[in-house]
Amino acid sequence: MQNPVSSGLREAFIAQIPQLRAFAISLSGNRDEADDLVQETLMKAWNKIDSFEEGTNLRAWLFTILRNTFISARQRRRDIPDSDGVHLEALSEAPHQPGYLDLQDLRTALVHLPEYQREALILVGAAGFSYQEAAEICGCAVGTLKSRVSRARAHLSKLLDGDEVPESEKDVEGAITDESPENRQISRQ
Amino acid sequence: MTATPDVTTSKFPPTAHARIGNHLRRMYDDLADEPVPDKFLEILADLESKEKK
Repeated sequence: MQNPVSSGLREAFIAQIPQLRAFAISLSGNRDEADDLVQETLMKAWNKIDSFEEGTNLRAWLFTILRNTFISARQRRRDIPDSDGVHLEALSEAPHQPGYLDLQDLRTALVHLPEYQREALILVGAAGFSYQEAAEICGCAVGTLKSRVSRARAHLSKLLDGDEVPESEKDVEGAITDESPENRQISRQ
Repeated sequence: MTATPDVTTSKFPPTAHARIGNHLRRMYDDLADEPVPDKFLEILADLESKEKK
C-alpha cells in the first residue's frame, strides 16, 4: 500500500527536522530526550500520515505530535497527584537560593518554567506560531494560551534577573500536575 | 483589534519583553541551524523503504 504523498513525504519531513529539534531541545532541556522525541514524532507522523490533511500546516501538525509525546511522557513520570500535592513537583524544580540561576543561560531558565508555560512561550516567542496556532497545538483555548505566555514571560523575567521568587508569588499555573478538574475549569476562563 | 503588546497586564516594561523575545528567538534559531544528525535521515529512509514493499 503506497501513500500517494510518500514520494515527497520524506523530503517534507526532512525539511521540518531542524525546527522539530529546536522545539524538542527547548522544551525538554535535554538533547538526548529531545532526539528521542524527534525520532518518536517522525515515526508516529509517518505511520499516521493518512490523517494529515494535505494543504494544511505540516509544521504545526508535526509540532502537535511532538508536543503531545512530550507531555504524555512527563505525565507518566509523575505520581498521580492528590489535590493538595498538585504544585509540589513544579515547586521542587524552582530555584530556592537567591541568585542560584546565574542566567545568561536561557535554556536553563526555561526548564524551570512549568511545562504548559514553557511550551506556550516557545511556540509563540521562539517558533513563531500565532496564538491561535499555538493554542491548537496545545489543545487549549486561545485565552488560556495567551495567559500562559504572559505568565511565562513574567516568570522568566524574574528568573533571569536572579531575583528570589517568594513562595507566595511562585506562579506554578501551567505545571504538568496542574490539570486537576477544578484547575482545568479555572484555566479555561 | 490592535496588535499592541499586553503592557497593561504586565508588570514589566516592554523592553524586558523585547529582550526576552530576541533572546528566545536567537536560542531557537541557533538550535535550528545545527546540522541534522544522520540517524533521523536513516529513520526516514527506513520508513520509506518499508512502505515500498
